[in-house]
Amino acid sequence: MLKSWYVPILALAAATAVGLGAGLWWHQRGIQSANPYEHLGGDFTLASAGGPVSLADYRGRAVMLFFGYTTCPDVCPMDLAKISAVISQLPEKEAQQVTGLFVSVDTERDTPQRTAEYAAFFHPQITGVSGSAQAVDAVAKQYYVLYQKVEDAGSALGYTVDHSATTYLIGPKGKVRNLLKHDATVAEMTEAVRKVLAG
Amino acid sequence: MTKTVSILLAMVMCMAGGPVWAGTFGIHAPTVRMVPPGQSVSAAFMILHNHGMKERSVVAAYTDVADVVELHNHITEDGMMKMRRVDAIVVPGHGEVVLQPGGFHMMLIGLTRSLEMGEKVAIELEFADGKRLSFEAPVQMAPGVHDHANHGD
Repeated sequence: MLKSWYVPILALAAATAVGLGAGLWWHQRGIQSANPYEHLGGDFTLASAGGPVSLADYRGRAVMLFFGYTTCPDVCPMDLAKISAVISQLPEKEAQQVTGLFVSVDTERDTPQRTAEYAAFFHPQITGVSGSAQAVDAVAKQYYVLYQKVEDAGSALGYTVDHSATTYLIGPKGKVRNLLKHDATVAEMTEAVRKVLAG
Repeated sequence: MTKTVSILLAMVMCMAGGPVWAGTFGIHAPTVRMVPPGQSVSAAFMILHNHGMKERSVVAAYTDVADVVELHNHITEDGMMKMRRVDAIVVPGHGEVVLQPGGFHMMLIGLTRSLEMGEKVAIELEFADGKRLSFEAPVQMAPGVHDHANHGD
């Protein structure tokens, strides 16, 4: 008596498990094959101390792209220090295939010269770029970077710049491959960079 | 992440030497961030310990290496990191406040000269009751620059 209803339920359970498994596999396969950041970012050209710099100049390399400003006391130095640490920790062959790119969103204060000096202080392989407000704004829009100037008449700084603090990991073909959050560790960032370099 | 931070914090504290106390108020592991030559701003970080019963408020700070020292905080809002000036950093009784990247910090604005790695910068804090506390903070790189502590993490 027990057996007669037990068997179909077992069969149904088995079929459900197989179906779920197949569905999950198909789903995972979709996630792995598609780049969720396909439509984010793209090429741009901004000004550096040594002339125009384009993202396209770095084809074949992994680029860690970060937006900030040089008067930023702790967020930008933290992120640039981590980008520097990632480059320093990679084996030489891989390190040569990695570049840091620092875009200043404080176009009033940060000349290309100043931005370059600031970025290079953290690592010689981090290039600092700036440009006109319009040029930088266009790049920020491409990458959905949020930033806004906030006046503070009571501060000796005059104003500060709020900004999002995500590092864009761009692959050798110029596409955004991963987003490294501000709280990502150097180890996590290094792993992400190696993954992108591996193809 | 927490482990990395605590290791870094421990390292910083070892390098920075012992705490400075004035009565029941102590400063632990003060540091001033090394910045590129010519850079006009830097920041000071430390841990403020209040072993007294009553809350203490730091309302101002002074140093001879900068024109102005401002008390700032960082908040994350609307997907952005926002730096804001604050009037005071309040340390509750039997409490502590950590001044660290991404949070409270003292902003050194208008550096009067270039900072050098390892040099001791004299900083003076002013409390709401007018009392003052002086200490020295060594100039250090942001964690991560020339730092290989995260190997194998």
